Amino acid sequence: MFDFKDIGTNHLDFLKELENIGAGHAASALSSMLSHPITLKVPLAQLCKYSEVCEILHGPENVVAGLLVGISGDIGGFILLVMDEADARKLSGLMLGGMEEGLPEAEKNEMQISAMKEMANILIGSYVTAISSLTGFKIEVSVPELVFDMAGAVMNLVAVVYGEISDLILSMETEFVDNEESLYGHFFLVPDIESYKTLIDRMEAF
Amino acid sequence: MEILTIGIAESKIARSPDKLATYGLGSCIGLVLYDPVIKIGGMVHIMLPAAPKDSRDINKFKFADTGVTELIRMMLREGAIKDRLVAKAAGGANMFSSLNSNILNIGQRNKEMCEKILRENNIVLAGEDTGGSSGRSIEFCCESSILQVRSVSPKSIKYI
Repeated sequence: MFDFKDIGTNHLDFLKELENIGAGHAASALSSMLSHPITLKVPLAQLCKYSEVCEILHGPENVVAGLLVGISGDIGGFILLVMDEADARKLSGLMLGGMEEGLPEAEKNEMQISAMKEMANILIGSYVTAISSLTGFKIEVSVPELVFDMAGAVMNLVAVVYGEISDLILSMETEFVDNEESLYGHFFLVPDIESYKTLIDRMEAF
Repeated sequence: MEILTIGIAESKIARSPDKLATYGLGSCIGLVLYDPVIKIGGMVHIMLPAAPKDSRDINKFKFADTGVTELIRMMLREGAIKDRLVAKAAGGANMFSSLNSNILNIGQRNKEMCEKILRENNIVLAGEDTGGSSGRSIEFCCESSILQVRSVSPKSIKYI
């Protein structure tokens, strides 16, 4: 049976490389959209315990934005992008460039949400393109779904997928750097168990 | 008074005036058992409905079937009387609606398995706040046997 213990340092390096390339694509897409430079850094790709992940996200009760995109094709599963609610709103503000200011609260919220979904499309799309071009896998993505809720509740989903076989999940942290401030996002690449094997087999072939 | 915090796939027992709490339940379920006479309570934070049949080295508290069964045993060891045991539960939400059915139903299946184990042990589920699409944090007071259920999206506090 597949075990997370089988994931070695070389696999993590490979995943980090995927992430770097994906993040690079995403950064240029975001920069051109915002017409000012946004750089993305990928400081971390690690296997961590579920409980530690909630600590990274400032505790299980911290309110986060969870953007979920399903993936299908040669590998199946999903990608979850998690950010502090405040950071997600700031990033959407950058994308909207102030055109949401002065609008009624409900309308403003709606604009921010669609900006965040668009951001998810760009970031996750770039990420998936990087995986595809490196591995040769055909991967399709679904329309993003966005929720705001407790970090623990949002991350439940990731824990559930591997829950039967492991207490570990794979976390990749991405830092979005604007001129003035740093905003943090966390990517969780969550292939289903079958696809993990496919992905690892492909890595070994490199 | 002390608040004992239970992490995912963990369980703890407390006595009045102490409280038991677990935070950020999504599809997971926080289940409480208590003996109102001696004011002792136990909480488990389960994640999946059923333990795999073939593995020996499992964490019982990760699964509803083995977790609730083990919590009953722990309560009896601590002096609770089985006929007096009462249960309350919260969680089992479906956080994202766009996922495939297997993961989608996990909250519901967690709840059904909890109910099944309680039924088999003739334990009444006296109150619950389950399902929906919101995360929950819960706090159980061993003195009053009230379970406080908090959500952030939308903001709400319930007492069951």
